[in-house]
Amino acid sequence: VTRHDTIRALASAELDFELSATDRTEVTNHLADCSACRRFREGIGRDAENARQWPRWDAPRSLLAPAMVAATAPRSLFRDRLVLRPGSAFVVVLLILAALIGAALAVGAWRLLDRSLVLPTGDWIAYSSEGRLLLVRPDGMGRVDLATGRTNRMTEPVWSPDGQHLALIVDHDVAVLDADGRLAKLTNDDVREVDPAWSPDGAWLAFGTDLGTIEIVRAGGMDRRVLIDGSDGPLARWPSWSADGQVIAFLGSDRTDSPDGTRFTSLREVRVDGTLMGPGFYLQRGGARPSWRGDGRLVFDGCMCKGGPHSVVWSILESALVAAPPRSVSVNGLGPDGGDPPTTPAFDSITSWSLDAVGSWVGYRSPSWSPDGSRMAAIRAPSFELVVIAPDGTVRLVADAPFAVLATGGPASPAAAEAGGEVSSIAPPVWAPDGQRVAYQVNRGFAIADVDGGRAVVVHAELVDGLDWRPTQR
Amino acid sequence: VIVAVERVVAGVSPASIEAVFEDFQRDLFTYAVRLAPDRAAAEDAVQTAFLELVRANRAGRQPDNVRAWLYRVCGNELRGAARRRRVADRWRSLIGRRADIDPPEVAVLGRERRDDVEVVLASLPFNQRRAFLLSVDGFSGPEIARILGRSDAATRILLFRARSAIRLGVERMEADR
Repeated sequence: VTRHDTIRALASAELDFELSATDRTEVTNHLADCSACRRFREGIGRDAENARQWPRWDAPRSLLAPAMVAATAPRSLFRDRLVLRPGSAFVVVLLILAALIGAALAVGAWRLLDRSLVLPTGDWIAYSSEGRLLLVRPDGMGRVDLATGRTNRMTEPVWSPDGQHLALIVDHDVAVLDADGRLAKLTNDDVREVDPAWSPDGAWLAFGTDLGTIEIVRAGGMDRRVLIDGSDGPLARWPSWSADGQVIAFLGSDRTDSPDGTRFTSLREVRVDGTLMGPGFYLQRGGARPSWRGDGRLVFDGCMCKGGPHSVVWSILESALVAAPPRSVSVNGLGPDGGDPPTTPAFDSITSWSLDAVGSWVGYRSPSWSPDGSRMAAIRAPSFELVVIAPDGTVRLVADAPFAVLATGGPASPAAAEAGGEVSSIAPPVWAPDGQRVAYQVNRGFAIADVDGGRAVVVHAELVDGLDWRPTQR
Repeated sequence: VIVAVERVVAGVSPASIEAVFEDFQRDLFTYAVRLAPDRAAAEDAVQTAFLELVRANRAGRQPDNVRAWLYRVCGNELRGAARRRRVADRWRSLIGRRADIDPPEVAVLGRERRDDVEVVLASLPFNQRRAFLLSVDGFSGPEIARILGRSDAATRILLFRARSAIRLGVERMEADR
């Protein structure tokens, strides 16, 4: 490209575009000295002027006919344009949200009609395994997955006293599933709720939270009340209603009776009006859910650890309505081989009672009353045998740890118990309404044993995180 | 609710479209005739341009610059017609028979007397002809760029090549005489 080409290009551009002052000056200076480029400049100007003088022609008027027809054609509504004025984007977003909400409601309505959630009548054990909610017959047959098609995580099912409803934890909220399959959340917050428990009349549910609160709420979802506000510490587990529905025992925190003034684990009781009863019953390591008997006797287990790191205390208190639970517990020594104590007291005749397995890690864990309160079932550490204790204190082995799953998974070791409280996490055995059978969790899964026949059947061999036997339906 | 169905068709009543036609038909048709391979193609392009103007208005797409818009649609229509014509010509050559088609300049100008610029212009590539004619019709450089869908720089080069080619052709014709 020569300088002449550049100047001619600028000269051409000058006819159509605004040139910079520099370019204009450059063109002017060059044209003053270059006759060839000056001729080009004059030539293109002349050509353009010549072209402007060319004849022009009128378009035939008939060319307008299609446009006239189109302009007068009936208007289709769909050809009109939706004009989005300022702010319309916001309205459009609202409309989209409304559509999404409508779709969600439609899906929700469909869910309500999902008949797979309808609770069948009859004798069923409800349990949860890896977030699924299942029912199974006591003989292990007729398994029903109530969570089919649902993505919610469902755990800790508990039957209402009349056997018509299931309380459970759905995605960390307390919920109730009724016989018609309607699932209603009673709580809906960011707090993780745990351990739902029905009041004896089935009107209320108590539960704990990860904030260390103990709360109650009506089974219909109204009138939620905080009984323990969590200010004593983050521990508040296993609320358990007394038979008269006036007191809730739970495992909580206390500092009043601590040997060193620090917070410690204790069995505590609170009235349903929120009144905390007396100091706690000191436990250095937590136990399982307390179990009430109809006459107000409460059985629970925990570790007082006063005799050694694995000392286990297992106590029966008099009615929780006694202002101050007895502190002074009698200790029964064990045999030299660490086995069962030679005798156990008749629990109907005592106000407090404990077994202390000093240094041997032998103990009775997670006791629960039979429906008529005539005996207790418990798990005997360290081999997780199921035992039944008669009113006269006789301990009878029901199931000699026969669970295959336990054998493959291995029993909890003393070291594991010391490190993580594994012993404390043993769920209490669950009695059948007839008082003849007991369902109990094993290492992975659960089994059912005939209390008098001593026969145990493993019903479910997957991890189970909640288990309850349906009461006799009323 | 602010969303409204608004009829943005004011200006496409029969009277208004006639007014637009009166304003622009002469320049547009002349432009099309000089750009098209034959008069029929020019008429088709102009007819399409006014029809599309009505459709655009009824669809709510009111052009900001109606004149430039008409030139753009008309030019694009002719470019498409030129492509179709080239395809047709290839098929005609395959069957070994020339169609009865006038050379462009003859068809365009009919019995009109042509000057040298017109003769040379007819031999230029389509886009160079288009750019030159737009410039002759008084569109500014940026307007030409928008009508052609090109950048300003590319349009400057296109116009320079067109003018240079015309100048060269005209000088040769003058020298031959």
